[in-house]
Amino acid sequence: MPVVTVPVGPQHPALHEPLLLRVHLSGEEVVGVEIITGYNHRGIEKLAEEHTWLQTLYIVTRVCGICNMMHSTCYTQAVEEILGVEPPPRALALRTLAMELERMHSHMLLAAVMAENIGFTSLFMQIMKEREAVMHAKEIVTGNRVIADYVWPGGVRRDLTEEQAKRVRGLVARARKALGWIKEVYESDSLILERLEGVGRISREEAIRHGLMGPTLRASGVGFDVRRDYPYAWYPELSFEVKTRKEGDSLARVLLRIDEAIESSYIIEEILDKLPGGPIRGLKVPPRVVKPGESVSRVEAPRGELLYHVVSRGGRKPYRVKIRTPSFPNILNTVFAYRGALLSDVPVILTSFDPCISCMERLIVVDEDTGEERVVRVREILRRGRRRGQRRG
Amino acid sequence: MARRPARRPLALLPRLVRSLLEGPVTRDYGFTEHPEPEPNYRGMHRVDPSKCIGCSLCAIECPSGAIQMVPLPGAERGGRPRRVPVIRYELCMFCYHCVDICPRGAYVVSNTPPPPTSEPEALVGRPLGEEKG
Repeated sequence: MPVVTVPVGPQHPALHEPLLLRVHLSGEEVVGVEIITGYNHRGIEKLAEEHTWLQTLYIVTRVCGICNMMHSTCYTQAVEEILGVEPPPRALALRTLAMELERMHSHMLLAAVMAENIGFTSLFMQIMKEREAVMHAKEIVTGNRVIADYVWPGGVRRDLTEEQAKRVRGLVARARKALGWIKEVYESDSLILERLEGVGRISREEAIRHGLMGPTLRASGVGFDVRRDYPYAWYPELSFEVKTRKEGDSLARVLLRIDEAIESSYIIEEILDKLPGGPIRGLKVPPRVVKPGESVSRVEAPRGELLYHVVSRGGRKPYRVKIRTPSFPNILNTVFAYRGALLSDVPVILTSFDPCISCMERLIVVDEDTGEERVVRVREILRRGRRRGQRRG
Repeated sequence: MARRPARRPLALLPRLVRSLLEGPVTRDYGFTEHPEPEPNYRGMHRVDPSKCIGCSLCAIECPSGAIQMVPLPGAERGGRPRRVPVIRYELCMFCYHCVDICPRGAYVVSNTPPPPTSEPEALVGRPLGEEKG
């Protein structure tokens, strides 16, 4: 049987990032996957070297729209360490609050995208509708629904009033109620279980060996979370549970994220209960010049551990800003998870790692004997299939 | 594995029926009334020239270079024309760095969302009409 190569990607108009998967098929079964990245290279690290310390803060915020609060906090923590500045407790608590709101809406987005990718559009719509409550809460706290621009070296930029805190509490409670029924649907709907259960299974040993991160790692039974194991911001003051699951399949990864989002809502309530008073800025204005030094900072982003390595040689600009995002190992090191799956499971497995890919557009048929490649449209293959069906009928 | 309750083929149905009765959640932006953003939403902002001292700090620090110092007609300071910052909204990303950094608090903020384009003519008619034929 000839091996058929199906390029999945690299264009996707609606979702996160362009990525190309060359899926090698023997019949319907996946025998290998090549992952090709680089369609979205923007030279962020080089840009950071050419801008001032504060301008770089706004550049790294825009590395990723969904985790912008995580990126800005991670960079700010590194700069604060070089400067030797400790933000006041209220600022740390507010940062943690905004980060947990971001984790909630990111995990709800993944649950929605997964529903859409398996063809369950009505669930997608329902989750996106409920997600608006979290986005609204984020707008109340930071001043914008998505791009927060909330942190500064030395603290945060806006304070939270009592009245605002009360509204955030109400919105988060509403979202938690919604997450309850979303979880119920994911656990009990037979269509979802058919598509997700047992698909793309990763064992605990494989997850550790391939250096996976975040919910992908925790869904395989490894309880590693930077928030608990290397606490930062206001997490040392909070009591929360790191959720894990043993199954390691696509369903476990989605359910784990829903569980984490529910846990985040409790963390937010705890922060609002314990919110300390005092100033929100440790410095009157953020400094324009940073003394020589270097530091490594890490935070637990919704997709896993995010790491920043910032080097200063004094002056107005950073010497080097190295960013290590969790999606990179999660996408590139999980090639093994696709083997043995069906072609229709490939988007489901990829989505369960929480990146996004483009819709399937065409096929390249490789003749095994001559190695010749030719591009075939999906429509043509469907037409051929139908014709064959008619002949048989 | 005690993972789940019994399989239910239509677990979402009650919620879908309720949504059907409640009507659409989304609205036609620009054609129907849309909800007011939060009071602290980062919307259109401008400078109050009576408070501005012309220090240019916002223009120097602006991450996207959207602020230009422009001479104020008929106003002088120390024999030189007084300059005030003018925001080019098409470049502005509404991070409010200028608002937070201003030593005199000279920026007037609002929660008015910025317009989708600085050239309204681009939206009138059928911009792709000729292309499509």
